Amino acid sequence: MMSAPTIDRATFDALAETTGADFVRELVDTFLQEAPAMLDDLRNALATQDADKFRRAAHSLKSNCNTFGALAMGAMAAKLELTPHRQLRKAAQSRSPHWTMSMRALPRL
Amino acid sequence: MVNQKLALRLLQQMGYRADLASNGIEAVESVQRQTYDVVLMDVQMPEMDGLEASRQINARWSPPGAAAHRRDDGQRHAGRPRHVPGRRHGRLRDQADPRRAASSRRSTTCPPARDQ
Repeated sequence: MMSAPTIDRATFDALAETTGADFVRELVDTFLQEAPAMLDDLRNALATQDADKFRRAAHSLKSNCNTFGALAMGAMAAKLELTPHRQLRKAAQSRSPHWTMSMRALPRL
Repeated sequence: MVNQKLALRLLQQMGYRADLASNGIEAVESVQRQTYDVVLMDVQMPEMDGLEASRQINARWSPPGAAAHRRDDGQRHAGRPRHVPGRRHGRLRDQADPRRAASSRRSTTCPPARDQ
């Protein structure tokens, strides 16, 4: 899944076509406002060893990313959601540069 | 919020009036408050998940009441909710067709909410 595109243009365009370009802009803004807090949720859940909270945060992040076609980030969140708790710390740390990349790509669309 | 906004937008475009519940407890409370034609239930939610909320709704209220869900092939499917625990409501196939939904119909949707 590491080959998934940062942003899948077809998914993004289909979303815009279905719901309207203005609405999608608003939706992207909402995501960009909320995503840092979602990543904080992930980090905090990891720090406090709260496996349920971590899974929920990863799940929300995954579905949000896939909505916009941020498939690479979505795939990584999906992987984190399913990673056994004791392997999480290592798995999450290795992904943090990719979060930043996807977050920077979305506003450019 | 992204999921909520998107679900409400899509339902609105299909002519539904929708209420939003942020978790399973709110979903059960909404169904208690009024009658809905369709309940779109998410599985993973804080406080009470969608499976438990579906169980409670199925146990406390008779049809009409259906849970639409995503099939393995990605198609939305509103009749005979196989994955929703509790009783099956076979007579809902026609009622749950969005193309037949009049604008006066109401649905409730329960996308995942970030807890806090």
